[in-house]
Amino acid sequence: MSERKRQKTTTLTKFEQLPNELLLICFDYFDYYYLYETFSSLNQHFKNLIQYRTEIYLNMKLIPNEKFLPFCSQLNQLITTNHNYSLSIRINNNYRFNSIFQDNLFNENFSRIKSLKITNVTVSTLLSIIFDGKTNLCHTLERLSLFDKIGGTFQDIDRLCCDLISSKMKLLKHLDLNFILYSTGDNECEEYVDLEFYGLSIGEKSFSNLETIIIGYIPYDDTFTTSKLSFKRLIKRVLPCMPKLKTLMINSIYFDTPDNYRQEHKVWVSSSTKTNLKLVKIWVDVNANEQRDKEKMEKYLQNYFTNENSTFKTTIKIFFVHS
Amino acid sequence: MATTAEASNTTTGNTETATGKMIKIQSNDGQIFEVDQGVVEQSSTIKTLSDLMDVGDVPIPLPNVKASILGPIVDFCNHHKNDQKPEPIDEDDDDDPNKDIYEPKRSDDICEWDLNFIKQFTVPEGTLFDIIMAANYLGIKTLLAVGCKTIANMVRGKSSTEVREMFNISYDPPGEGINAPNAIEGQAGTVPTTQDANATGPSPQPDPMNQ
Repeated sequence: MSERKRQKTTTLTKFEQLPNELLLICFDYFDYYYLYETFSSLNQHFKNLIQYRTEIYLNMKLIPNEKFLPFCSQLNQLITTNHNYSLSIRINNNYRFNSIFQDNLFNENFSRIKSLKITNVTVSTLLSIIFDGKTNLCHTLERLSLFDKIGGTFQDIDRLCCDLISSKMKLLKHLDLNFILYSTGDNECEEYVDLEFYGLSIGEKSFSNLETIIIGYIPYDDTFTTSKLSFKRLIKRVLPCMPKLKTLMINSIYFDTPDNYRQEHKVWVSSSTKTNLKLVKIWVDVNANEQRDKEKMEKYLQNYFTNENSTFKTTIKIFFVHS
Repeated sequence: MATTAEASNTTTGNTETATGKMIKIQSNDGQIFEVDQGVVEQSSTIKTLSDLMDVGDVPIPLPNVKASILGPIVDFCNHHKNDQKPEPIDEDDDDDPNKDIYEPKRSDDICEWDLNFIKQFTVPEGTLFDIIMAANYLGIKTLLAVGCKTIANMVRGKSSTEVREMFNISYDPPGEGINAPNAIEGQAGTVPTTQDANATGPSPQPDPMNQ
């Protein structure tokens, strides 16, 4: 090889010569388990970068069964020594959920979790993990998403919502409920089931820190039964408990009587509860008799959520669903 | 000796009157590129330097970027200068309710023009890493993201061995680093962590930048 050619070869930039800050940016595109498996075994430099990563996002689905417990042990050891981590987990398996949160070996470290996306668990298990004395996720959890399938009854969902919206959740800012309810008991299969929110007590002590709440379309098993929320209950009972709310998405609400949306100037709650809202997306369930009133409903909702006093520009989107 | 490249009008054909003040930037190997304000706005480094120095006709020196990298960067910025600017993001403000700030970022959203652009830079020639480092130095966030997403897309789905091979990643010396006797127990993965004695080709050397 000529001297000139050799010189050119040795000055080529390599991946591992990227500064740590750039390697970490590249790592931002990966789940922690993949990073750990792929990069930790390359050399000490990469191992250090992975071990001292402060933001850990884990999709448990990506971990093969035979590696689950060994990996959890490694992770447990790692987060015991690194206290500044931010842990976020996506779990789709009841066994793994229990392994992490109910095993004495893990639950102390994993209880510092900030974000949890979960499916295939029952509401009762979830409630015990969130409010149980050992794990007490209610003190650390900032984001909670329930998706795909959750076991329980509509009464369980109602209780869960009340507890999650209450001030028991010290740091919860984001709540996303988007799942199919599967049966764990006797559910009445009516056309729809009202979310009552009876457990919410309005008062200074019940204020929540929620900034985003998404209550999606929640059907019951393979039936036509879904959950709904009365608009009157939403604004009288639910919204006043969430003074910091910025984003509100609900599928769906209904009006108890036509009087609700015909009384355009009636104010049910003080305007201070609406001043932080920046995005409102509401699906309105209309029956055959209400079809001709859609425009009135839309105008009423637009007026209700428009904030004249707020510095924010509120985006309001209204959709109609037909029962 | 410095040479001037007509980079400013290669993509869009804008004139000086249409785009405002033109400024000159100079690569570390002496080549000068004339760029308009639309390009300057995309690079926080060039913008800061041009504001601070009030450069006039004097080219701004960019000692960390060579001409073979700076030229394509100017093309990139020229192509994107009319893109809609994203609204400033408040770090504490999670505007998109569906976006989980804790989840890994997406890497599959590179536009077609950018995909074709980044193809000219490769791992074997080291130019892919050169352009990432240059984008970082020049403070061009969009280009930095395209480069890092490209790396992520190359790595995704590959095993440790394949990643080592693709990027020619060095082994720790025997008995050191992850090959140290007390470090071997409980290691991630099942791949060998020392170089195969029968392997061909030179072993990548420890990187002085990261010592």
